[in-house]
Amino acid sequence: MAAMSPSERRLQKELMSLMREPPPGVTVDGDQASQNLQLWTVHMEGVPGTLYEGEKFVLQFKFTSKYPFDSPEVTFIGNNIPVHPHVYSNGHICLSILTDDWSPALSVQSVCLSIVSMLSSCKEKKRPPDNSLYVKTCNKNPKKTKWWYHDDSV
Amino acid sequence: MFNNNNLYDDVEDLLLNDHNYTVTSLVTQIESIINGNIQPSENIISYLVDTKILEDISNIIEYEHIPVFFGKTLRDIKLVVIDDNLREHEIFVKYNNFRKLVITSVAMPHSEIQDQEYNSLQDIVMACKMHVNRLSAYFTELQSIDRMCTVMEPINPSFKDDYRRIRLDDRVWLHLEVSPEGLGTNIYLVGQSEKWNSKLQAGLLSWDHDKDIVENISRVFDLTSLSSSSMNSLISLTKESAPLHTNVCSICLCTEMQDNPSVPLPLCLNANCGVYFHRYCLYQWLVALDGGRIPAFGVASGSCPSCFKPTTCSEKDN
Repeated sequence: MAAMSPSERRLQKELMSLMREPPPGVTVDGDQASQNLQLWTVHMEGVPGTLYEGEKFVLQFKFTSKYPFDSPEVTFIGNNIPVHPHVYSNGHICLSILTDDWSPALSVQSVCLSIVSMLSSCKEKKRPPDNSLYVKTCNKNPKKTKWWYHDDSV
Repeated sequence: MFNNNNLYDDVEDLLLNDHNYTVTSLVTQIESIINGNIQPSENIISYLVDTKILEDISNIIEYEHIPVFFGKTLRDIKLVVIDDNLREHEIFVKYNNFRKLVITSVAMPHSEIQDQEYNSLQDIVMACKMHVNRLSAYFTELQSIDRMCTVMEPINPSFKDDYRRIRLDDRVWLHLEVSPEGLGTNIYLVGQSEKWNSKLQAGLLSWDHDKDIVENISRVFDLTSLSSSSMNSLISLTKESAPLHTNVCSICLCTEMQDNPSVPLPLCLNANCGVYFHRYCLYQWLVALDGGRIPAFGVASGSCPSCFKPTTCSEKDN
């Protein structure tokens, strides 16, 4: 086996700890991720007692070879995209730690926890106000979007 | 053995005074000077050790088949005693004087055998053999812990240390001590975790001293992954890359770096941060934050990846 790059080593370690000790309601598709370390699928359940109780979501993580210096590209995929003021109907998420506030000390686990808490603190299920315009005009990669993080409450 | 000063002086005198020598006569004369300077061989023995100890050494080699090694001087002796389970134990002995031998170091917990003076190596071998066979269960337990578990401390576990700190997860270790009888004692968690703690509390009540320690641990914490043999490839991979320290760099999540001998350190200037980074990793991040510009004087600045307070990091270790 060829020597692993630092980015692969780190992903390997993260995958292992996420499989062994996943945060509640979060499961990573370990088989898929170990075949391609740069593309992970994470299943997420809506937290009981919140607006998303009983719902199931799928998150996709894409990593570049510069990870963790480069933030992962995280989107909701599949049939059920959560209806949330920071989640566009194409799965893009407006969350500052995914772009401007990314830090290499964050991890897949901390991103998952942020998303869980973002969903859990939601008071009213609705799409972002500019959803239809954004979905029509945006780049496929949410990291290319210049986000305005205007709302800290949700 | 030689009185070197005399020898030199004599040869020098010879060379200075007698200029009419042939090569043969010179060699003959030097030879006689050397012979005259060698002192009787009894002195050799009395100077180093006494004959009793030499006999003693030859006896234990010949009859006990115990390997004997010498350290810096002939008075520093190492014996290797093999116990009933074929484990080798190194015994370091100091020959202080005639019939005054002491054990300076053994890889076992401290015991009375180290506190006394012995007449002979033979006595030491006897005492040690009895002792190691008494400690047999102790050695067996420690060996199997070291083989089956990820031991975080001591860094180089040996029989001298009667405790082990075993990794349960990234934040929690299990501390336990092994009694001379091979029983687990003083068992507690290092690090806080309700999950592990409740398992431990329940487990201590049902701890079965008839079973070995590793068996008890894996039952109490329902760990099958504790055993290195049953770990899958992913787990063995990290075991190999994160061996003995817990202080992994929070950027690359490793302790060691490829091609770069560097240890993670709490590099952030904020005293409350205390998060470990490789200098290389933190520097790379601060440079990347600044759009990849190489900083002046090799010192990058920006906000710490962990505490987000302003910090700096130099490229090279000072």
